[in-house]
Amino acid sequence: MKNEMKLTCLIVTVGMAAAPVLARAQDERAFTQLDTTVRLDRGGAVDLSLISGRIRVTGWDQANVKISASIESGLLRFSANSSRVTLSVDDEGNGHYRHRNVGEARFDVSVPRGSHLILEAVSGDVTAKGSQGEIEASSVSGDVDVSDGIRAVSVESVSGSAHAAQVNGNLHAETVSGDLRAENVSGNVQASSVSGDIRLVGIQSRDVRTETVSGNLDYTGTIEPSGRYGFESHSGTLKLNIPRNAGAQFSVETFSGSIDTDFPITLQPGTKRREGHMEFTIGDGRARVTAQTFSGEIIISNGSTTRREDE
Amino acid sequence: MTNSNMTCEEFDAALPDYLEGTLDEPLRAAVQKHLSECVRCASLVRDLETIRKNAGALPDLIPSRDLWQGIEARIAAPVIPLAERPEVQRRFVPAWMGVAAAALIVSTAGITYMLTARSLQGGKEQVATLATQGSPIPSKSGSDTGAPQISTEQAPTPADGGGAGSRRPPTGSRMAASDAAAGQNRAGARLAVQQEQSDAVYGREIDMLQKIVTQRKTQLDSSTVAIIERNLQIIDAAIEQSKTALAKDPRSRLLSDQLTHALDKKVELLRTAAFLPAST
Repeated sequence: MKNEMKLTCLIVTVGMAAAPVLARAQDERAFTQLDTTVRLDRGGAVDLSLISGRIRVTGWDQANVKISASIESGLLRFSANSSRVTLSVDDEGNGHYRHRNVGEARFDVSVPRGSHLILEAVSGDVTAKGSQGEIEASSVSGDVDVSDGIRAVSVESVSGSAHAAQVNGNLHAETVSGDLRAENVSGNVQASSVSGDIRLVGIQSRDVRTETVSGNLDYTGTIEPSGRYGFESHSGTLKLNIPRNAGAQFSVETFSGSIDTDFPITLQPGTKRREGHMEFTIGDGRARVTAQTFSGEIIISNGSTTRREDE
Repeated sequence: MTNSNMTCEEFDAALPDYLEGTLDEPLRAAVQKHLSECVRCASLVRDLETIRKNAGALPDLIPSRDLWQGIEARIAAPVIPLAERPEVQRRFVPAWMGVAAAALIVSTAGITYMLTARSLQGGKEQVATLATQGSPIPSKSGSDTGAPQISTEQAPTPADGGGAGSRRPPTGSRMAASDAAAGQNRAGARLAVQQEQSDAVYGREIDMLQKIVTQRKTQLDSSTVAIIERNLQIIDAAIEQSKTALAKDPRSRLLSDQLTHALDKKVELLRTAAFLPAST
């Protein structure tokens, strides 16, 4: 036996609302509708993908994965073993336009806390909350909204929005034109867009790197001792809300934009301030903050607090 | 497009193995026959082989550990431990992805080289900058009050071009000043040469990715294509603005960085578009 635990052994109960219409392999089957519960090892992966429709995942305090899924036209492909559960749409067909024969799919899935989620949609929305494990979520034109991830969270969209909240770990967030928002992240943050706005709120991180071309960036978060913070844009506005008691060396530079800061700047004797370039230190100066634009405005305000967004 | 017994789609699927030289003889013969009859596929292979050859000819550079961390983060996907994956066919993975993957393998080498070269250069200049700026540690009064202290460099002069990477020597004889000026000229010339090399590498790789994306346009949803094109225009405008400004101030580290970021962004977006699933 290829796999010791076959699907038939893993299905705990629950109705298979429709009979399998195709069996490609012993551990993979296709359905038009699926209602099932399967056991998953602690930290196992749940891999869900669809073309259009939505994926909705919720974490729960059971060791099983509960799936309720349907598709308007086409087939769902399902496989499971003790370490991985996979549900996708059957996109095999002829030519480049095969996805057009696949209808909207809806996945409602409950997963054990700690599961590793891999969620992909083409034009569908993706949401996940309460899983308390690693999350990789992406959509091309749909919105991505995840919360309660730990260790490593990745959210990506091309034209949809990307939102990550309550992340206890590193965050990688990327969009092209969609807006990107992250709240209450404690870990390294990488966020980038082309034209989408980036809003980072309640960030507690020692390493933040953000870049956008024409989108605006708004950062509110702590400046940790020895932390590194980089903010870049071409024409977008960079707005940094820095705690008053932060300690950091700032290097702020723009080619044709403007620089505005709440922090009092004192010129030392013998130095001159070059237009568009400012270096200054606040507090103990242990952290490094760099902000750079071509034509975008750079605003550094000192009014932020370090409390989290939901407090 | 169909030529001989092999279709272009079949060719695309076989291309990675063909480039690696791992095809069995009958399939290799079929690929070569197809190449002799299909302009599109022959052109693609020519481009890929040229880029692979050029990338292979690039000299070795060994970045420092500190630099490598940043580079690695930009070129490598995050390493996330996964449970063992069953051998099922990955969704949304048609044959063109093999072509894109093969193309990206060779393109990554060139981009990595440029990032490494730029980072090494940037690192050297940063050392020089710190050496002329004095101690970065703030004075006691600054620390106590929390008041920021300016530590900006001297105002730029026409001689130094005002670039962020150029600094006036603090003190010294005329000979020292002359040496410094010569050094600045050499640094400026080196930056200009680097910029040309960088432009050439980015140009080739962007062209290659652009070809893949152009070929894939008909497979993608029109609204997605429109968004990709609109954002490519935004990036192109940023590239043009940076280049124009850099032409007037070739020593500006800020402008050089801005140009690099915009070019990186374009490569990223084209890669994203190259790997988008069909009909999105």
